[in-house]
Amino acid sequence: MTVHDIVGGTVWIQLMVLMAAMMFALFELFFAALGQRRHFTTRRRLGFAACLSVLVLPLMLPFLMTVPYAAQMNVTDAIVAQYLKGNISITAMEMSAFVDTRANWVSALSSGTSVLAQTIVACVVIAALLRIGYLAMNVARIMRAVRGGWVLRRTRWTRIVVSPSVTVPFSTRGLWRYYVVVPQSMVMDPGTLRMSLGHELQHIRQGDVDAEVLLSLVSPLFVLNPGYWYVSGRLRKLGELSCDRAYLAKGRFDAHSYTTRLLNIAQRGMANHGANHGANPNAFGVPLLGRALPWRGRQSMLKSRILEIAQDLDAPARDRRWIGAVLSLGLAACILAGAMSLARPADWSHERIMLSTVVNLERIENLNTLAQRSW
Amino acid sequence: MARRRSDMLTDVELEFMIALWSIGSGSVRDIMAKLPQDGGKRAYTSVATIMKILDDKGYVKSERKDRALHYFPTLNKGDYEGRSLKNLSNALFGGTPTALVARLVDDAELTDDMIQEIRDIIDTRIKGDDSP
Repeated sequence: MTVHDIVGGTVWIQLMVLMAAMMFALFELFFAALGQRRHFTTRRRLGFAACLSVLVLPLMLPFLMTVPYAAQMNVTDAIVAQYLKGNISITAMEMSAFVDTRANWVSALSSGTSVLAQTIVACVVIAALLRIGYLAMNVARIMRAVRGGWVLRRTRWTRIVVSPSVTVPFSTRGLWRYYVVVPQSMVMDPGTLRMSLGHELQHIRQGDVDAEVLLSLVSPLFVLNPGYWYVSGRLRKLGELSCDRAYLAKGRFDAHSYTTRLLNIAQRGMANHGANHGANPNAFGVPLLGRALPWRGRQSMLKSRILEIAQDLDAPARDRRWIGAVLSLGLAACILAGAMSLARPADWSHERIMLSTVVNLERIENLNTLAQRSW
Repeated sequence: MARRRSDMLTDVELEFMIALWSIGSGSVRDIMAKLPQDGGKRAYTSVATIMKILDDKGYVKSERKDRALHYFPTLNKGDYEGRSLKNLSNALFGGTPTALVARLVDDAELTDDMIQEIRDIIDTRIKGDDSP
């Protein structure tokens, strides 16, 4: 495997993530346009379907490209065909440069000859290293919280740990088991402790913890890809909203005491955040956090959650599993078709050969014109 | 909300402690003489105020000698460096993690106004079992 192959593969996977995110965003738009945005579980399933589709693409694409229709779906060939029909008014050489854009960029990035290519490679490497550092810091925090706490309850797959070093309950997983970590101060408030544990165990049941860990682990590779941040942000938000709904549906807490307790925990966390603000390393925390981005402004996730809980009381929404399954299959099919249309065909198509011929004719004409002038 | 005073030294306090560590112990005037003069000469009262803060924080002890206060460091420079490293380690690796976990609440940027707004939503739109 050469440097060119590695760079080509990296560029390809970035494009696929961006394309899958755009497809998912289209489905999200579709939900919003039809007034169905409160189907959080279905939308979350779609997000998982988008991630899974990207994951299986490297395995499936070689087989899909052998399908006879694959060549007809190629988007570059379709654009070249439109050019040959005279629907795009640029020169043949400009069209050829456009068609070869990706290949040219991969060559420039792998050879590192231009300053721009070197700058891009440097930015990607630095961002990935910073993200790895940020993840390592969080692994250390998790280990400190788990090892420094005492186990309240242990089951075969789960440990519930009370830790003096954390202010907000969280759940995570190791290689073999899940961990729910609660602040020591919460032990004095059995109602809030019960609510926190129930909420976190619901996260584990619905697969949010596995998704969060997997998404975090691949994040260094996609740290500069807006598609990755869009999908991971949506999944996190939809996971919270469907977790609130699923937990309240169990009827162990009424909506008022549940939301009041959520607010109290947020307030306690905020007070602690303020007190430790001077000691906390902002350079590590803010830019790479992914949760306090400048363009998001002061949107509160907690406020959204509480508004949705209030909305559920007025007009409960119900997700249907079969709709989720059908839409997920539809999204996966769109992503696979998108990948096929962006893939490089094995052979030169009729359109490419024609374009190449026109480019050669244009070059010959240019040479002839230059020769006539010099004569 | 009142901000908790940090237990660690600020840049100015650290400058004063370095001066005190270099002379072992001394009065306000002795410390003034050892302070770097790059920012101009400091007023006696300013130096005395900083030394009072250091006394409150427990970094120095004072004794009255010939009508003037005489200051002694309560910990040596090496111990403070160890404490700084521990504090940095706590800041980096302590506290609630923000990646690789699902958190119960994920709002580090809440303001007092936002909290009041959320409380109003709960009180007006979400009725509890004990609500009238």
